Amino acid sequence: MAISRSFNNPAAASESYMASDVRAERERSLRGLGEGGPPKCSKVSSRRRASHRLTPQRFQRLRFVYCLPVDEVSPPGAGALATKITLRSCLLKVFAAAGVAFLALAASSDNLVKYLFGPGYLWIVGGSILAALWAYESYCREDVHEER
Amino acid sequence: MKSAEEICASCRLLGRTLPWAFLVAAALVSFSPLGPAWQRGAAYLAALALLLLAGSYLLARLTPGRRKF
Repeated sequence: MAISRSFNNPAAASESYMASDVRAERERSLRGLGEGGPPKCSKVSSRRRASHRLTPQRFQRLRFVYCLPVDEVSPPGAGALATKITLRSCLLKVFAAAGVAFLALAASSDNLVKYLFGPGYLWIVGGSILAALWAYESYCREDVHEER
Repeated sequence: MKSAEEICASCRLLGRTLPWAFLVAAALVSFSPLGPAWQRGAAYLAALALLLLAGSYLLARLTPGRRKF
């Protein structure tokens, strides 16, 4: 029955093939029965991701098809374009936030000292540390998934 | 438990976008040759941005959730 349906509808055939493929891969991974060795490709190329024709659903499907291991796929409920949190990405975001805050506060420290209170270095250092802590809480938590 | 963003739609704007927008705006005004009233406003804007950042950080810190690292 499925064969005849697939025969009549090529789109349904590719969908059902993809679904069974994904299911099998997930089951293998859950049982710890990987095919051995790293997957052939670890991510969708940036050119494909940047393509305007890619809807979030298609992107998510491509992530499956392009042999991402199951544990790297976004958890249920996450946005379609949510990325996996790695130590590197987390540190990058934290340092970027601290850097931006440092530069902005260094530029406006004169005004802060003149019209508010305190020494300038306190504003700069305190603000940078605060921005880094904020970035850590915002970007390095597993329960926060956002579409980027 | 609902996240803060699910409870109020403008929380994302208030906690994520506005502090950085204020901080960058304050820096730009400080660089520009605008009058003292603008400079005073920029100082208040930067202070407000830090306050919003602190509030957002505290809210996120107090919200239960797993930290990756």
